[in-house]
Amino acid sequence: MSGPELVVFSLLGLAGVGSAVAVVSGKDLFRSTLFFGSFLLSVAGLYFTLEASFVGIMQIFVYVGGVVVMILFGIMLTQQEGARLNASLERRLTVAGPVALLAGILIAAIMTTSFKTVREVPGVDIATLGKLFTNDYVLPFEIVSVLLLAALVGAVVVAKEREK
Amino acid sequence: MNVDFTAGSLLVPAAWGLGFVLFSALNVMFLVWMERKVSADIQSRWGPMVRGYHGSMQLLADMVKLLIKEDILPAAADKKMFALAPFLVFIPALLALLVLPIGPGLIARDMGVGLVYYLAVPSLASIGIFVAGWSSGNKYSTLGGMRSAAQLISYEIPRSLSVLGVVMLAGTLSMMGIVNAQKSLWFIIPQILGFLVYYIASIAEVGRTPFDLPEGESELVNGYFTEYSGMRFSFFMMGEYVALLVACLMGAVLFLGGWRGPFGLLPQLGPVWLLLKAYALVYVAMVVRWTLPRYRIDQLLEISWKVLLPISLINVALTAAIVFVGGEWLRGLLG
Repeated sequence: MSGPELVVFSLLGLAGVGSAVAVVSGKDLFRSTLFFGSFLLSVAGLYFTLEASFVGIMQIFVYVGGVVVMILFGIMLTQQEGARLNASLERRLTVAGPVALLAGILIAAIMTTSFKTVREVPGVDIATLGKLFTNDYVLPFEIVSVLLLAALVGAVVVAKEREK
Repeated sequence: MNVDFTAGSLLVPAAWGLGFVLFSALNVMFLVWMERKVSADIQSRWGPMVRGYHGSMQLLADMVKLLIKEDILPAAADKKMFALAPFLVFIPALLALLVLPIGPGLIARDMGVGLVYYLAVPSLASIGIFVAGWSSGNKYSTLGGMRSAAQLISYEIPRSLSVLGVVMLAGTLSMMGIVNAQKSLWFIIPQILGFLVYYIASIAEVGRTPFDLPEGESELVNGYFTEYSGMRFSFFMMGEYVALLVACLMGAVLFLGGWRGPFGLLPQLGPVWLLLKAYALVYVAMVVRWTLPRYRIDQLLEISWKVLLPISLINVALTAAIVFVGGEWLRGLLG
């Protein structure tokens, strides 16, 4: 990665980390969700700088347009406006402890693993991607489809039962 | 990616950006005037007649009025988010112009996945609508925001499926490639079902009557922008009109041959043809708005899930079958 690219990459990374911190440190659930959205957008930006534009757009499509909106719906249906999150210190520590431990293990694992690194991978165009999906990787692709279908049917069943 | 920070290379994106903003501003002015005139025509009135030729300067007067209005921040509002929301609604609509093919070889960014970009980015406006509704601190705003987002999401599915047929026929997701594939036959003819679903779903996504429940004044005062006034309000209005124009421009690109004239007439007029086609679609949307009454929320969702979705799925299956069986013949037909 050359100088200017590195600048863009670092800026996006900083934005991502900054929003991630804002997500967990905020007291307003709604704002936290919006910061989560901006975190996801910066990750999408990182994908763009790595020439994976399809993955980047899918990130925006699925995560920002889908997941974040879903969470916002959840907040609107369950929370009071202006409600603040106040967990006790004790409760925070019980959550923070295991999370810190897990993060430590992950970081240690990442640092010690010798990943096969490739200097530069040319961007894959979407036609190649599509062909791979429908030929070499057709079985995983179909399994994922079945999983999604099951989730869809499950959602309908859950919604139906509640009506009785 | 090759980011180039020399002055010349930054000039081009800056020029595109400025062009998009100017284009949107000018078109919004024209669209508001057109809306007034079309509504007046349907209701056997004259519409604005005093300022300028047939009231064409009316919007300038309105803009001045909006600019000098007091900027009201409701006491119960979350001030920062309240101020942010209009931009979150306006910017995604503007960003869609990035992949709009304006003329032969004339496009800001011909992405290989341009169509997916167009489906993904403008729908982010729903987050802005959420923010507006939530931060206003008003129950009507919150309800309107939720309705609007629910509507956007449920109509996104048939809209995304409706353009799949176009992708299958064109064999590409690049917007330029889709226009190029319509050299001899506009996709509206083989994809009439897809076009109808796209058009109806687009009108619903933009939130215009008969799908304007998010701002149904008899139930919700004015929906998610009830608390907004002055310039902040006009940003929402501008966002709505830009979204309408973008939906129609993209409809023209996907189904009406983009910048190609009918029967290859006057190819040098490229962008003019595109605008004419888009405005024809806008005109129909306006006539629909001033003719049909508003749907109920259950009807609205039923149209999406029980009518548009099955039709678009049938269209996908039909197109796939045609492409599979008669691929060669089709390629000959499309040139």
